Amino acid sequence: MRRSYVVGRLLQFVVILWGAATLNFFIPRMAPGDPVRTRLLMMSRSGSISQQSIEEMVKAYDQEFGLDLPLPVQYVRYLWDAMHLEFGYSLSQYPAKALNLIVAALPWTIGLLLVATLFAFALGTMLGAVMAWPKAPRALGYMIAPLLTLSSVPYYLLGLVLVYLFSISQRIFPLSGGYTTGTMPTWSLGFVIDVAHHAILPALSIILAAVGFWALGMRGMMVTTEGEDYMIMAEAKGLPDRWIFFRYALRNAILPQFTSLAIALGAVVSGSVLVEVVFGLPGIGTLLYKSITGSDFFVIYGIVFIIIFAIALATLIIDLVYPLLDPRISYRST
Amino acid sequence: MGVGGEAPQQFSDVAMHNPFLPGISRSGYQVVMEPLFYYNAYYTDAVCGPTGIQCKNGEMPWIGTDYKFSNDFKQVTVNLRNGVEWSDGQPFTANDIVFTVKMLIDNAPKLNWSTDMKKWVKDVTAPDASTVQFTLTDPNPRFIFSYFTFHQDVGVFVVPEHIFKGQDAQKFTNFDLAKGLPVVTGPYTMVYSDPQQKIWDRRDNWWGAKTGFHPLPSPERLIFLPGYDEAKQVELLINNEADCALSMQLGNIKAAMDRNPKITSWSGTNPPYGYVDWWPTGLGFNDMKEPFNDPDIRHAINNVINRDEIVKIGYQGAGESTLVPYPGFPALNAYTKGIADLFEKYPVDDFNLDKSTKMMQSKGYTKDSGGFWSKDGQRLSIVLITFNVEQDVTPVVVQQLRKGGFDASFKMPSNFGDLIFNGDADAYVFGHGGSVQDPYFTMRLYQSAYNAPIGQPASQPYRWSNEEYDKLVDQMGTVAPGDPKLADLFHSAMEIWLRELPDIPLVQFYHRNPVNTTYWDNWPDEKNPYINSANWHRTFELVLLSLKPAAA
Repeated sequence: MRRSYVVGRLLQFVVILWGAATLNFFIPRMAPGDPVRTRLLMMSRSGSISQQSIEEMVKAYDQEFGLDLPLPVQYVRYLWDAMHLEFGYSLSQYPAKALNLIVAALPWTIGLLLVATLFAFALGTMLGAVMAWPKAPRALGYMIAPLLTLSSVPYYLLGLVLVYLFSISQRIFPLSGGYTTGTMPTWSLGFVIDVAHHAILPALSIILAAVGFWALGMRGMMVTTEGEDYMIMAEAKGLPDRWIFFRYALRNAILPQFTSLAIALGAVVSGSVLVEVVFGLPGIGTLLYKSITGSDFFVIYGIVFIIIFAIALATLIIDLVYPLLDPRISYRST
Repeated sequence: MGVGGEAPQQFSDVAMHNPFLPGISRSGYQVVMEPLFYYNAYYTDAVCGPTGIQCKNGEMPWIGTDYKFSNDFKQVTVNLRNGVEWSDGQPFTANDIVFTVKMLIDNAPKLNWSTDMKKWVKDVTAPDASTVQFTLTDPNPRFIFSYFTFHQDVGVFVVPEHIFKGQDAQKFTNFDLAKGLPVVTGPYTMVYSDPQQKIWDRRDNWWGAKTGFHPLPSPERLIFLPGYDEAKQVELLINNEADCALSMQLGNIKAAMDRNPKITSWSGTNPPYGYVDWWPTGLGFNDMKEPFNDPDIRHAINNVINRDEIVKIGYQGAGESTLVPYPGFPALNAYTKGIADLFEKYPVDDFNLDKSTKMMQSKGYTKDSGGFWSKDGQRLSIVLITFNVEQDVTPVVVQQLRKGGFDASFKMPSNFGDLIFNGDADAYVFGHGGSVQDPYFTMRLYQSAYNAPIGQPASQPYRWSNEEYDKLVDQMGTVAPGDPKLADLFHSAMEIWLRELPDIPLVQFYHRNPVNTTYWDNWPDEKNPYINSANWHRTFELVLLSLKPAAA
């Protein structure tokens, strides 16, 4: 691998990060309204603070959060702070720090999304590979239509259907929450089982929607691979079917899947927004949803910046390790 | 277990219990931080407050026993109950109140209620451990009621001096379960907090039980859940997984009661399935903008409003209209009855399309080809804005305006609050808190002191001003509730208000919050209105102290 390629790719990484971070700063600011005033008005509407004190409080907190500064100054501050993973106070949950809120929500999201994404990847990839394999049972071919359908349905809609079927109609799984309300989280087997029980429906909604994507992608690659000379050669040599399937077909077809997996893993923290809201899970998705609806700029900045960073980093890594995964790919100049 | 507070989907203030920081949500602190006095706006001749609690005209002494104003209402002395303790065993003394008030003044305007304390309190002292003396900047006979008598969502919390002293009040979270924080006086202590739930366990060493003031509450554990969407709340109630919930739309509370006979409401299974909240709904205008700055135009618009129809369609018959910006609380009805004669002079309840037509024509308006009022070739378009709470009634109002020749439409923008308080909205359907005991606080909402020129934010969204009205309301502020002079001043102020009609009263607003009687009984209701049943209000401790295990 050439050094210039690596340096170029790293520079590209920085530019992508800067560009996305800039959009991240300006887009929420285009929404109308002052989040501090909105929050205080909400409190005054209920009587929690007196209406007469709002304007003084708005001025004081705008100053505290730096919202009274010119936008370019705020932008430069934001970039500097983002480089240090410092996103300031949450506007709606002051004096909580935005980063602390994100860190607290992260385990729920990673626990659900990481497991569900890996599971969907493994299941979908295997299913896709088998569906394209000529010696597989013909019945597998009938799965293409339902998989195509599932991959077209947004996962949060699947979530609502699952809630109706298994929580409301049948009451097999809990309606919402990360664990049974009323119990206090402990590191015990019982609690782990409880969390797993609560995670089944949200995970299932993600897996059902994603498995079709992985399966169809893999099937397409497998069909292409099956026509390759080395496959004919392997069969001519009389190698066992299982050997050909795993060592020749699947191994060669799976590479594009890894690229997609890297991006999917990078998007783990962002992909679950509505699933978490539907199932009442206290993860990043719900936090982001609340922050957007409450114009909590600093929490939005924090979450989106982390997502941008994760996806850009995952893409960078996959670009750099690709030659190691596939010896046919080289970044040497010819 | 209850679904409550303004924390949708999940709690975010999981490690914060400073009641003066704007980030706090009503997720339990409102029931464990006790007041000097409680007030029940729903009291009747038969029921004043919870059984066993001293109560007169809805007022219930709690940590305070009584208070006395000086003749000029510039000084007030409050006596405190002996034996009140914080949850860490330290005695609650007058010094805690002095500290709290001074802390708020020193941290104005950032802390909740701090600007109020700064405005009103000249000095506060503790002559002894059970006496507090406030010296006020101006006469204010409602000072104790306004700030130290908990009612609805109103009231200043007192915090323990020995915990808050030396802390930065603007950053101090007052949360560390391992160290026993938060320290409170109420009968529950926090044992767990995360985004999904907040758990409070009963503490059997509550001062109330120790001193014989009141037995311990029956519920041993409170679990506060975030404010889920209504469908989820209904399911939790139906499955007996929640004992109470937030206020709901009519269809949802009816669905919950239909599917679980143990679920009931303030009015049982009969309409209106709730109680009147202190938040009457009105059709407001930016009274600085043409043509809404003309009271005649506002009256012409009022003449096309059919309030009975709004109740019939918007509330499906389950509710009441209103002609005044007041909730129909017993104490307020005494005042509003006194202005009945004004409605003959200024008939607000006058659905009269002909009258509206004549008024509009006299102002130079004619109907255009679309049948809408126009002037100088310009159609009078009214874009009403509102928010989800008013989504039942707003479409009906819009339709009535259109039938009356006003080209009306409505929107529900996410920045609704900004638009009305910045003066960017022409008209809106909105309500307000205000008075619960006497008419002053609602009248104050319309004073020009809270007004501002267009383009500047103002806490009076109506942007109406009338010098004479201002003077009358200022005088009302210096007259104690119960003083006959107050009724006269109110009459004079309302005469101006009804003449000018800065805000068109429409309907009463209801809390339709269901309760589940599967496990707990003796919830307050219209037959036993010892307090309202909102679990997000500062008065919910009274409900907890009154609940009894349901008979098997």
